[in-house]
Amino acid sequence: MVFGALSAPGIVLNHRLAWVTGSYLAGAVASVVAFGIAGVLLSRTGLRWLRFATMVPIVVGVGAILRLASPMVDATLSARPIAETIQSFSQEAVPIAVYHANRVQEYGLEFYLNHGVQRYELGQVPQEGHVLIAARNTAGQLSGFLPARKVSRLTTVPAQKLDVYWVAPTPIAHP
Amino acid sequence: MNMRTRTDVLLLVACCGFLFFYGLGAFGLLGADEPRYAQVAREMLDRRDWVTPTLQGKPWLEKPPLYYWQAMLSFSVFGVNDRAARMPAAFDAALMIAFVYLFLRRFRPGSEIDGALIAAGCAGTIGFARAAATDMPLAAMFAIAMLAWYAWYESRARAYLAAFYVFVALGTLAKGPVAPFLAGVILLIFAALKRDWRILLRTLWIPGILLFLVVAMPWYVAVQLRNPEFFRTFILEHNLARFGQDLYHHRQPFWFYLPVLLLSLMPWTVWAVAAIAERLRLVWSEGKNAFSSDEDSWQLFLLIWLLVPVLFFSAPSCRDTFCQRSRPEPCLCRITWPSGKSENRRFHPGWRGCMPRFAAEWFSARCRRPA
Repeated sequence: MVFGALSAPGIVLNHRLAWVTGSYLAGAVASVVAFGIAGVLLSRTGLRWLRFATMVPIVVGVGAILRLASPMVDATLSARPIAETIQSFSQEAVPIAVYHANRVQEYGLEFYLNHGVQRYELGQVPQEGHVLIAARNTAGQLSGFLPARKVSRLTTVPAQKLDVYWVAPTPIAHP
Repeated sequence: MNMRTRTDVLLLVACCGFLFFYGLGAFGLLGADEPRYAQVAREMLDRRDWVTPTLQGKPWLEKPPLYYWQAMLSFSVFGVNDRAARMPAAFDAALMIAFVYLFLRRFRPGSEIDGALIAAGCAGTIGFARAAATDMPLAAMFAIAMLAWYAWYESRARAYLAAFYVFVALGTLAKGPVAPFLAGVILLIFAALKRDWRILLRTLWIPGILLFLVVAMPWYVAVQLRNPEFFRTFILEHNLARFGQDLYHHRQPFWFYLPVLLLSLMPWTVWAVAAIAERLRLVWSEGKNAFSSDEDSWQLFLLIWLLVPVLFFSAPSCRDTFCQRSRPEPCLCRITWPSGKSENRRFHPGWRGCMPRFAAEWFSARCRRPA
């Protein structure tokens, strides 16, 4: 359990456990220690102490996940850092749109920014100036949605492979 | 309060405090559901509307209101943030553990602290206690209801039966008709295996049924009156149709819940498997005599409680993530092991290991929930 908790940041980042020599070694040592402790406790003191001993890795595991893995989880799986990025540019409520962002990011932004999010894919392109969160490598497709509108890239959210843009309002046509 | 009780309470408060409440805001809301549920609660709070859940101002009738009500209270106290959004599940988990402790202390004295700590320490419990979702509210209410029913079965005290109806009603407000339906199936099978149909007749207690209606029905009636599409959206689409058909393309293999179950029980998996295997072996070898004593009846009840949701939601048409979430997921199911009939004398004689089953929403919700 502790081994799993300590491996969590790597799993979150790479979507798999990196099976290198160190991982095998750590897994083997953790297993031997766990079975050793269980065996000794069972033979000498009985199940009651084994129960207490089992609570230790639970507490250590939860602590390790909260302290070591949570920054990685936050950066890669939550919309909170995206919302914080947007708020770092403007504390005022500006319209938000997404393009090829997933539902986690869409609903997360709605909660953290407390207003609706438009989806370019559904034809919901705000006419006013707005912040656009788009999947990386989709910059070339944006011009099709935004003819004659100025698009400036504000920053990127590399952990979630997203770019953040400011899209200027639709120019007013003069007769 | 004697010294032992004081120590137990301190230990439980420390464990529940750390495992369920500590660092709730360490990472932002995950998945599609957590922020969506939190946003619905925020909009209900903004409008001071306790009836119609809305998302971006439009009625959002997929779930009943218990989580939203709890989140509204939490937002009122702690402000609108992700920590407050997760507070209801943590509170419900702590409530469930408290009831486990109290039940065991009253009906299986000597095992209360073991049972409560093991129940609190399962990966599934910890995971769902820290999620802004409807799973833990349902699981906690359902688990407390089942414990209350068994308390009534053993003691015949009507207060426990009343508590059973109240908590089943709260389960209905947490996730819908799945709570009374599963409770009914479990009690039906228990009565059938005990060959004592009077249990069911005695359970159908008119004041209790009235209590159920008083707690559960007002919201259902009010939301239907305000939103005529509620019955179609919630009952027909999000319960019956989703249960019977693979509407959202979440189909999973029939054995899906087995690894989920084992993972959610970590680090107590071995104990639980041993307890279940021993109980099944006794049933196989001794037939109906395997459940003749009070202690055996308790274990039969636990076994049914453990297996019914797993088997029910492993039915061919409903192995999708809807069922995974909507069954009383982290419902508590205890199997005592070693049992009285096969206790291994090398083990500590006073120990009664309490094996909770918490199916692994934590695992699946974090890893398999579609983005």
